[in-house]
Amino acid sequence: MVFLEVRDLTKTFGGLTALSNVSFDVREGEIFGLIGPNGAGKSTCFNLLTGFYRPTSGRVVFGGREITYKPDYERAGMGIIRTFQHTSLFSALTVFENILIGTHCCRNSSLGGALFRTRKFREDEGRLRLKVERILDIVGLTEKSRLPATSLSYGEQRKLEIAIALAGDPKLLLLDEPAAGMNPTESMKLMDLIKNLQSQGLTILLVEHYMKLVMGICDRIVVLNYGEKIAEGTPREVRSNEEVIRVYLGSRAKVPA
Amino acid sequence: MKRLPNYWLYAVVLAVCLLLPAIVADPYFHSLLVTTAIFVILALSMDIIVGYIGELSLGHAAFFGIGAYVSAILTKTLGLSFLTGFLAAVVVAGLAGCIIGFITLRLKGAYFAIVTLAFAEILRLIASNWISVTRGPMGIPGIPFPKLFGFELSSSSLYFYLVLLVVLLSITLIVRLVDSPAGRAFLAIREHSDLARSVGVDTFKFKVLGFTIATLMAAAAGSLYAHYFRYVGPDLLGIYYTSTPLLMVFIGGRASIAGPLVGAVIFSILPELLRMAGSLRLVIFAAILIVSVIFMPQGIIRAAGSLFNRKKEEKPAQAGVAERAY
Repeated sequence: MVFLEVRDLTKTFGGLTALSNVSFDVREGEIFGLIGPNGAGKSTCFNLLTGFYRPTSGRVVFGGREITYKPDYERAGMGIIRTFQHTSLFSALTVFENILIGTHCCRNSSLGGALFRTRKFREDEGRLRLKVERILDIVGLTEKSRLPATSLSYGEQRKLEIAIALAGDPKLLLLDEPAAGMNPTESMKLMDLIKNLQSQGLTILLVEHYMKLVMGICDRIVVLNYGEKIAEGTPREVRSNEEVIRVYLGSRAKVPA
Repeated sequence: MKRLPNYWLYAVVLAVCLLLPAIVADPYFHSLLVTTAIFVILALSMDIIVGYIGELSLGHAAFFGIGAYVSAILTKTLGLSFLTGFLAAVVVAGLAGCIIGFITLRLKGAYFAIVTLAFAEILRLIASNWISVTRGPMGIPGIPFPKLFGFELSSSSLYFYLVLLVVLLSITLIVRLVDSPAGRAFLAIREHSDLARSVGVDTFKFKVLGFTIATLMAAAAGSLYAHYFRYVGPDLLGIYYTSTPLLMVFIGGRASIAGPLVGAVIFSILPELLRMAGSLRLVIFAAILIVSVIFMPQGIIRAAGSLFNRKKEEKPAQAGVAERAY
């Protein structure tokens, strides 16, 4: 059973075809890259996978279950959680509270439980809070947990976004340009974090422009151009693909071996 | 999100409230206490929508009025008990809130505000014209005193204790609601709706839930109002009962317990204190409002809090809901 199956995924906006019959598979436990020049349809594909757009046609199957038209807010419960390209945080809240909200789909208490403060509720809240502590540790933000989210540096905020996504116990983590705006040092730390997450059993799909990261950690990559898939394979296969070099990487693409 | 940092402060405030009617024997003062407490409930209910969910409801008076009218009709016209009337008022308003919320909360902010405003106005017109049930503009007089355990609450100070009980229940409800997944969902929706959805929050469902809870509380305030003044009229569905709690929340401080409380007290006490200014009273009142909005846009509670924190050289005051929900 393939972990994530994408078949003939198509999205048109009126007369514009943003994505055309894109198909690929993501295998469980791999880090999968989605790359291509601007306007290639990466964001569109990403939004379709996360339920933020509805496809014009095609299918998305996750863990054997068809999820093509499932609304966005249901995906977290299924194990698919995304991050956003532009910094997305609950600004007025603390780091701890931000991650705590991420546990929403994992909660086991009811409104009645909350209002009457039943034992089940209190235990569940305790469990969720412990989870947040663990995640703070994984991303390295424990010291800053009581600070407002806005007081974090840019790199820390991006880490917080991943932490919020992790709080929902995803099986598939979708990262939307996670290295955007980061300096090389921060990007290296991000690469380590993503590899760490993979070693903990997560499958990761990422859209990214920073080739050092893509080629450095992705197990397989799909390349889009003008809404169509033009290449698929390992980093080595992709970066030696002539068409990919022509439309995106450039002939002097310098990528790690 | 979890702590009530000032248990002692609230215990003191509560003790003062319990003793006030005994300390000051003036009946006018007692009636002021009752009205203030009723507006505390109304302001707290408005804060759920405006402060925690972050939507602007301009039709809040509709649910206050439904609470008042249902209580009035059931107890006066149908002779049912106070408790039956009160519970029915809350349930009917909650149903109406749920339906209206369901219809309107998919609309963008401004449209939601307009439709809720229209709803309140439509109800006001119905109340003014459905003579057979509401006696139209003449309203329903002679609403009976509440009778609890056979005892009639006919004095202001005793009534104040009843309202105080409902205030305490309302505060408990909000505190427990905010410190729960539902409450966190409200804040998430307010802060970043798409991010909330990406972690599994059904934003529409929670908006309707919060709205409904707010309407339940507003109706409770309305019912208490009806049984105190013992008269209801169509103006209870008028804009005053929307704008007043709205101002109380904004001036006092949104998304907090103390904010609506302080706002309600200021709005009720200040006009009385300004009586000595004679005809300048409302002008000064308006001036105070304008000044406070300019210099304390986050509300009095937060302005006072940051002043206090700056003196103690602590972390910044805006450090999240933990500082807010007390």
